[in-house]
Amino acid sequence: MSTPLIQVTNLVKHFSAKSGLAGGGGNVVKAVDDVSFDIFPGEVLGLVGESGSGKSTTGRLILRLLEPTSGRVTYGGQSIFDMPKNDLRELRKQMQIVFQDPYGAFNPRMTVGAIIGEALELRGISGAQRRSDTSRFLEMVQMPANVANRYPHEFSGGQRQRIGIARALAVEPQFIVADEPVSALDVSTQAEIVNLLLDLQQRLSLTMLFISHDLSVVKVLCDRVAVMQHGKLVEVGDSQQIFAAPRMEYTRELLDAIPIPDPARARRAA
Amino acid sequence: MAEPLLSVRDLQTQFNTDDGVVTAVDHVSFDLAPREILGVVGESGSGKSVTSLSVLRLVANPGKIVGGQILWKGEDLLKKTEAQMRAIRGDDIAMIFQEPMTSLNPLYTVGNHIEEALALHQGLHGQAARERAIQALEEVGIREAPARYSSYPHQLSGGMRQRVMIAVALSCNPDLLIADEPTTALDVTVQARILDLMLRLRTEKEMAILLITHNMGIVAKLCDRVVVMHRGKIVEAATVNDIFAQPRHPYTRDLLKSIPTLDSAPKTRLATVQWHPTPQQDAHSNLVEVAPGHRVSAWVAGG
Ligand SMILES: Nc1ncnc2c1ncn2[C@@H]1O[C@H](COP(=O)(O)OP(=O)(O)O)[C@@H](O)[C@H]1O
Ligand SMILES: Nc1ncnc2c1ncn2[C@@H]1O[C@H](COP(=O)(O)OP(=O)(O)O)[C@@H](O)[C@H]1O
Ligand SMILES: [Mg+2]
Ligand SMILES: [Mg+2]
Repeated sequence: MSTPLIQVTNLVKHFSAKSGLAGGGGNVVKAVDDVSFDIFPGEVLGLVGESGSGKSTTGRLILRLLEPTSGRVTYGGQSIFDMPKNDLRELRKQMQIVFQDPYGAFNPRMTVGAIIGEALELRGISGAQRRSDTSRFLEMVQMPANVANRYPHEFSGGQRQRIGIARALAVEPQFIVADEPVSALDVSTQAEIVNLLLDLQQRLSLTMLFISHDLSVVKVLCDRVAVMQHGKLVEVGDSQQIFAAPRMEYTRELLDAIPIPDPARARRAA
Repeated sequence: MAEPLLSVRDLQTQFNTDDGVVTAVDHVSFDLAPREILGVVGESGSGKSVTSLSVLRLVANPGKIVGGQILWKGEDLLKKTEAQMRAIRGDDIAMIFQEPMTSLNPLYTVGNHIEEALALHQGLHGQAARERAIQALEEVGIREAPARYSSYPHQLSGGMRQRVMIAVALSCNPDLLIADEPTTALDVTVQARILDLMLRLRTEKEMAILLITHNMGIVAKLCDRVVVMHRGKIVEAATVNDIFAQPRHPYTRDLLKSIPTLDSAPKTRLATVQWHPTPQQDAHSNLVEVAPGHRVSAWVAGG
């Protein structure tokens, strides 16, 4: 068995639920509550669970976009929360994130070319090389080179997701956190982006944490699956095993709740 | 077949934009029988929401219904006055949306919302309205309904808010509920409970449902019949069994094949939608019947 690329050990993140009648004053939200798991090089780990279960917080902690309350995350054996700023900057080039709606993460005044160019600059690429690399990464996500002169708002949700993926890839990362990247898309667009992620992951041997609440998509993309509920990790296992014979009742509930696109079976289940 | 409750005939709805006229709903026709659940499917922008808003004459500027008929129990809603439409909305036909928060007033309690509907449509006030409101909350499976009656929308979870929206919509016993992506924003577990609730209420309340969704799993579970929309047009209409077992239109077939399911093969590309209409096909896109109750674009039928 290979050594994990990422090891998450007893990770905890508390948020103080300050205001609002809904939360109740002064309470602590245990968004991530003593979570441990490994991610191996070249694998896609699915992270599933209901909204609020702590998936995004876990993803952001692994990228050190958030500081933990306690616990440890190592990347290639190095503890990321103890890393000096300079090392962290180097590490950031190896880890990227793709969001559900990339639009919010783009500067609306930057062209697609400038957005990807900025990512290339992280690797010190400039001038003519930068232009040809921009075309190369756009081609990787199956977009024509001339879109570089246009702005993100001119594109549909599926095309924006391609741009978001191109930007992440431009840094040439080893590891990508994809946080619900297809959840906001139509089935037909979703299929195209799922295929793109499958191709790129295999072609570039990317390691990926794929966050989703859609277990059908997770089945297509992931090698292993981790299930979260109320900040805790309920079950981690081989994708085949989780889908064929989940060990935990909660995982079974998540699977059973999915409406089956087959009238005979859907009605029997009802 | 029973007299249709709703019969949409040749409906056309357009938007006047800076770039010209956009036909969002293009000669759309369908019937809905009493107690029937009709699914409207299609990708975003295909005209599902504008179709349903047109039925209630709620299309906002710059949109305009420019042709067709909307026969409700035989009477054309396009010929009603605005006052008559207000009486029909909520009382005869109710509507719920994807994000209940945008249609609930944050300053109103759950009870206020239902009582407003009851006062407007049924002339119920005071204690009678309060009792009916609490009953409506119980009917949609809200526990501790008397306590929830005094809650504000932001104090509720997404699933609970959608239940409140349904309670408001159903408080006046409409004959038709229009539900536009009612569970899209919810978790699958919550979604499953809301879908079961809708099935139960259809039977208990003898109500028809026009269900807009892009989720074919939901269609399979809930709907009796389905219309498939593409760029403002219906391309195929059939019973739910026929749509899944014998889809005739290439778009319907592609759409069905592209859905990932729990049976999908791991690490295997999904099928994608390949069909795009040629001008020739567009010119022959009127629907013809190919089997009882099964309509498809004329060019597919070969007619
Ligand atoms: N910045 C924050 N401040 C306070 N609470 C937060 C913050 N971010 C997330 N939470 C809370 O932490 C919990 C987990 O959230 P999240 O990780 O976003 O869940 P998921 O991605 O599974 O939907 C939720 O209860 C959420 O409200
Ligand atoms: N306010 C508007 N202004 C201009 N065009 C609109 C407006 N609302 C809807 N449309 C047009 O109507 C089409 C159908 O929209 P809609 O019914 O909302 O699609 P769906 O619900 O199937 O996603 C859109 O593609 C768009 O072109
Ligand atoms: Mg999240
Ligand atoms: Mg819509």
